Amino acid sequence: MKKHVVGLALLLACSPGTSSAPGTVRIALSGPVNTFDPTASDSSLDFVLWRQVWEGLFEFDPLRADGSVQPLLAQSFEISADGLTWTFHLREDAFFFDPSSPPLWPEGRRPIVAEDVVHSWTRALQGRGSFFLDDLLAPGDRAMEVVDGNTVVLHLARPTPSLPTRLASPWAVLVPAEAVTRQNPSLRDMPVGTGPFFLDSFEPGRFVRFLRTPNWRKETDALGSLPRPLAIEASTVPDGSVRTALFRRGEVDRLSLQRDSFHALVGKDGLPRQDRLKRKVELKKVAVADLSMIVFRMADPTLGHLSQDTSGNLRRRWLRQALSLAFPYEAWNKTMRNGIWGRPATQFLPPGIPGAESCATLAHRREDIPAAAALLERAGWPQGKGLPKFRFSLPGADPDTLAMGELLKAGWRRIGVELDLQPLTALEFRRRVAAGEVQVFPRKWTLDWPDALNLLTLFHGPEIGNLNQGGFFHADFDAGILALRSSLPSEEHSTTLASVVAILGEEVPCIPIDHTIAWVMHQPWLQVPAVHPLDPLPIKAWTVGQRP
Amino acid sequence: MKSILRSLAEALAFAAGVAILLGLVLDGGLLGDPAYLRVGRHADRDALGRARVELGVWHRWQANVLTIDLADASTNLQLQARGPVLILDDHIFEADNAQDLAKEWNHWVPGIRVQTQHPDLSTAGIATALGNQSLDLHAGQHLSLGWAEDAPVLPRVFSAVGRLLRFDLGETLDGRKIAAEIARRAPRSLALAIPAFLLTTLLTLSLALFSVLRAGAMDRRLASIAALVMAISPLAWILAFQHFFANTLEWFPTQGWLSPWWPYAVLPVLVWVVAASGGEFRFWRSLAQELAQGPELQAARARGLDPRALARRHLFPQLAIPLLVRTTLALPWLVLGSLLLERIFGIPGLGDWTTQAALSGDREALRATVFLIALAWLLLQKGTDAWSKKLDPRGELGQ
Repeated sequence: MKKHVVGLALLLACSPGTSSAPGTVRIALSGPVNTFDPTASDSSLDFVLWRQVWEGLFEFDPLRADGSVQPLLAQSFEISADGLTWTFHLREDAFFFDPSSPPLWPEGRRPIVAEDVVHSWTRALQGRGSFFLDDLLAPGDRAMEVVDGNTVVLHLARPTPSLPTRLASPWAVLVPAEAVTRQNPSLRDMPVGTGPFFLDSFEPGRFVRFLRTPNWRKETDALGSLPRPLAIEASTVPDGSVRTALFRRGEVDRLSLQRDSFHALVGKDGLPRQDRLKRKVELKKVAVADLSMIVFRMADPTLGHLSQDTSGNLRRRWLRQALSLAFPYEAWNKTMRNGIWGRPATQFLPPGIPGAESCATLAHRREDIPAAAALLERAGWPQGKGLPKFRFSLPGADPDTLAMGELLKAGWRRIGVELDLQPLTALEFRRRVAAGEVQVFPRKWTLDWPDALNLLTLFHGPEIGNLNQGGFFHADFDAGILALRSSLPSEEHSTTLASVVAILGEEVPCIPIDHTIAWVMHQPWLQVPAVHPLDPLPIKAWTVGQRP
Repeated sequence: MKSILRSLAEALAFAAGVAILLGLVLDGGLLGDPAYLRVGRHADRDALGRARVELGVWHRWQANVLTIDLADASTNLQLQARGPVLILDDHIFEADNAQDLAKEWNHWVPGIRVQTQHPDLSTAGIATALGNQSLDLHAGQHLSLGWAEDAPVLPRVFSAVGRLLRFDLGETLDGRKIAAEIARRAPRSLALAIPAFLLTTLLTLSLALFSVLRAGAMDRRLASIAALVMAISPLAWILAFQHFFANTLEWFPTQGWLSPWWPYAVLPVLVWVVAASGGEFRFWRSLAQELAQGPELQAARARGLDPRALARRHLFPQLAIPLLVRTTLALPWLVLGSLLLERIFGIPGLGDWTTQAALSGDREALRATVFLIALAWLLLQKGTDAWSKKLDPRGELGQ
């Protein structure tokens, strides 16, 4: 009996229970977070945590899920009549908070000033996120000007009504120069932001704890005076089944659902399964602004567009159109998306992106085997006769990636087109894509901000070898992109947008497949007003109640 | 004194040999181009060039050396590099510098306009920057080419060897001190691996001795159980234990490594012991069986010595050297912990870190880990030889 009691005591001691302090939000991340330097990463996992500490002049509205933007550190702003000059007035109650010892300033804080904006953005232009501003700034040294202590002016090269969405991006945050020059701790490990939380503990790649910033500015907006989280604990848990288990045990408060666990946690009625979860969790659907596609290398002599061979180009375009019509969209949605994880990319642009509604449905983004076979025959390769085997390069050899390859292989075989799969390591895949050593390859692009140009630039001629990985070149398309960049929203703007998307639909430099739908669950003690696709964890706007 | 000096010289030669081999493998491009990881998805050629200089792959980089305007071209062109030479649409251009190259292309290629702000930079450097990339130049396009100077492999290898021999382990791709990372993570791996290893050895060795001395039905039963344990993949054991003990019964944490750490180590250690016990038992059992059939043990058994005394006085001493060798071989790898266990149980140990380093092409982290393990292996090997001589004075192990 004594032995049993000792054994039981040991097991109880091992059981973790809920050790977090009340008011703590606990999340499990699927990958590592390694840095808090906002110039050093373009990983969405990093962004999620950065946004708790760093703030910019604008933010995605944490109470809405429609991509709307609102001022954050900007108290107000004015735009000149020509749309080229933006004047921002900073709010006076925002301050940087440094929790390290000794702190950078007496009492560990200092108010933000206009110089911080210029310094931060100048620094950001040298980092990974430089694209949020570098193509917009007017040439010369006076593109950013400090007018007074809390007023800064930005001179643009072209009118950009969507500038606030760019300034809400995670690279556009305000960073104090003193924290950048300090070596120990470095900005990478100790962010000194204006946000609602400060970093309390950081083990790179594994664990982060934030605490509420003391005397943080009083919110006057809709956030009001509800009880807000006092702390955040974020652990990296790479295995999806473990994240699910942690959620079921109530050890994490939010779960981004995995394909393999969806049906275990969500019933056929689309509601969370209370019998499995033992509590009333909330399920939210998030429409992600992205595009999954199969890209063709346009310099390929069999598939591409070669200006030396005009007549051949037409045949090759028909071939690409045939391949698009023979793509197994239904099987893809069933196998890769379980029927619930994707929205068909019938208009190329994700729904909800300004201007997307003006684009027509793509003629070749549908599954039509007789039409595909007819086009292939018209192109001179009846039933695929005479065509070489195509090579589909894959960024891995995990079951999901291989299943994607097998699907495409089976789909195209229906019209007699054969495919070899070429699984590569992620690094080698990136190298070969950049070096143009691939023929057909998958690509997924998540928009940095809700703007069609952010996606369409992937096919822009001057970006060949960089963003334009397929090497698509079309003079009319490029002219359209330039026109879109320099025009304000108008009927003409929408018409141009529709025309450039139509060019992609006709030329088929890629097969647009679908846009992701994400599913998120929250524990009943967590109140989450909305899940914004570009800022999925605005924890300052959440309410955390008493855990059972 | 002479033997100590000889051992030191051997150790130094071994360390240098390992460091050189590692340098040739890692700096020879085996892990691919880590520059793609350092730059983001929006990176252009200039960002990639700067990253390669920071990573030591290139010595120098200059963007926009040749600007090419194909506004008047009527057809596409294909540009590629072969060694130091540039080939444009199957035509080889052997101009030495950017200025001459621009002149040649402007003269010979219809519809192309090439300019340079860096006339003295070599054509070979432009070819280096292009690498094995085949570039399609479209009619109507405007683009620019960069210039790069390769950092030769051998000086990089020898520089890395020198650093390793000074125990300067360098920095990871994201700029963290490798020595500090190893010092932080190794204790966690050891906290998992040492108890697991000791428990496994103790359990399986005891069972093997028991099994051999009892023989008969018990031996057969234990052998069958061991075969069953071995037949199930370690991954299946890990997932089953995690699901049952952590997720269903909630006796242990599902994953993580917070303070106090020991509750987080119990379940991984338990899985390790179970998953490894099948193979270990079979190993010790076959060794004990071999020894039990030797003349010394047969004679002792014939004299009527009871099984416990037989094990204590005769069987166990003869197993001491294999035990020492097996422990020595296992120890350096124990530092790495179990890659799989650390990954699934979310333990931030050295195994997890090394896996990440391999996946992200972090050469310096891999170089340091492999080098330290090789050194540990060498030192333990020397220790084993010395202990073996003490345990069995008849001669050196292996002779």
